[in-house]
Amino acid sequence: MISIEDAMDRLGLEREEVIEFLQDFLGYGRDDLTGIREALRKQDYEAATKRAHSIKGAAANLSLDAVSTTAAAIEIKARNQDLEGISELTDRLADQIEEVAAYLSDAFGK
Amino acid sequence: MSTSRILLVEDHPTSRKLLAAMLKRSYEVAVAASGQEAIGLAQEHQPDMVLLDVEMPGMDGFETLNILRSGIIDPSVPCIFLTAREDSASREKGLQAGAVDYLTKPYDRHELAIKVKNHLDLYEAKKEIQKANDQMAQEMEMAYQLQRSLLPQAFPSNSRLSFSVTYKPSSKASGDFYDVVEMPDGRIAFAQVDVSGHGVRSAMIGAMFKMAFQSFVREKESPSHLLSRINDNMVTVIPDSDYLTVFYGIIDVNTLKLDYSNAAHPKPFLFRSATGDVKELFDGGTIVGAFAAMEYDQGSEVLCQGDRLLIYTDGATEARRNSDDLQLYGEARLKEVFLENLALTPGEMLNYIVKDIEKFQGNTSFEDDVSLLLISVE
Repeated sequence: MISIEDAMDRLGLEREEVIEFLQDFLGYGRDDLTGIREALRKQDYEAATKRAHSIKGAAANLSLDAVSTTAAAIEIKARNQDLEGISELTDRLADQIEEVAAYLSDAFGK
Repeated sequence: MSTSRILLVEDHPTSRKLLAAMLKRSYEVAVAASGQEAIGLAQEHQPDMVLLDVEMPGMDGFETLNILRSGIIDPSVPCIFLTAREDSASREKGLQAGAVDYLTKPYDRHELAIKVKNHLDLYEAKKEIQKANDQMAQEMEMAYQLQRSLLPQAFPSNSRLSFSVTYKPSSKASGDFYDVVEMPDGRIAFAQVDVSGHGVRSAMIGAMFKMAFQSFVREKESPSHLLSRINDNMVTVIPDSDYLTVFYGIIDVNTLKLDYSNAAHPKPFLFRSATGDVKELFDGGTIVGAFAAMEYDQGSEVLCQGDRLLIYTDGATEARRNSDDLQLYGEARLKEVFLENLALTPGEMLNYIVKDIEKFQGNTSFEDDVSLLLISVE
């Protein structure tokens, strides 16, 4: 699920730098996820779309492809106000973000 | 060369830091998290390039770019938009809005490095061209000022002769030139010159002629001798491809005798009030400045009250109906307009001729320099 080597190669950054950016992403990713849930609850689909778009781009930059794909699916559904399955997608996104957190903790003690 | 400055505008903190880390290895980077912040930073840093996220909360990338280019940064500073890979609409809109390129997420260091470097190099090249253009314009302005200072500020005053002139340079520095001077013995010498081409080079050759003319005319040289001497002087100095056509005359204010020599200049029209005829003055010789040791013939006329002499450069007769048309204004039409408007004052007549040429062209900008010198016997 996580390819630090791919990110290092594509971005031209050191391993420590990529790990630092992944940790950074976790903080903002969790905030955005909370934001998506809150926006969906308030039926503010524009805000939900923007939050999902934000996660999608940042995750793609860090080679978190699964996270980026799920965020993209949420972005499209929120933009189209298509709520079918969006809750499940949001849960899946939460799991995927926590998997990144667990990986960092296990692999690097971060 | 100093390090280029890049303004990076990206709302997502992780993407912003990541991109900044990639760019900072080669460039000086200022980072902004919003369009509003970018405007403040741009004022302070004056970047050489802007990397701008399209989708941002509040002011989006398009609006930010518009504001930045409305006087905050040099509008030619390249802007690269940061967009999502699948967002082709934003990419198209960005390019239409004046962005030079776009980068899609996920970023790739090779693509980033190439695009940023290429557009910075192009921007530097554009700045160099602009600098060279500015310098050229400045030099052209100086040549224009120099040339203007060489033109007579006033004509010799004489109760029997009046001199009027119209001068329409096609560019700032012209290849046309004229002079009217009173000689030490009271006669009046005048010359109209057309240097090949126009621009700074022609203006400088015109200035050289002026210096030689001013010097020789005081030695009471006859028109034909003066042209020979100026030719001998200039042929050694001016480049092979350049030359001048000159009409040079001297009028004795007591006898009204005109002596002249025409060095391949358009033949001036002399209107004879006594007969109503027009005579074309052609005695002379070839162009000046091209061939060594040339001799020139000389013609003479005795002027009478009411006579008018119109001396003109070929910019008048070779004015085109429009840039694609080969139809020229021509000597016949100029002569016709000259004859039809003898009732006008000299100044009014010259204005009328210029207006008629402009009307013929369909615009008021001249492709070649035009100068008209009118001598009227009162």
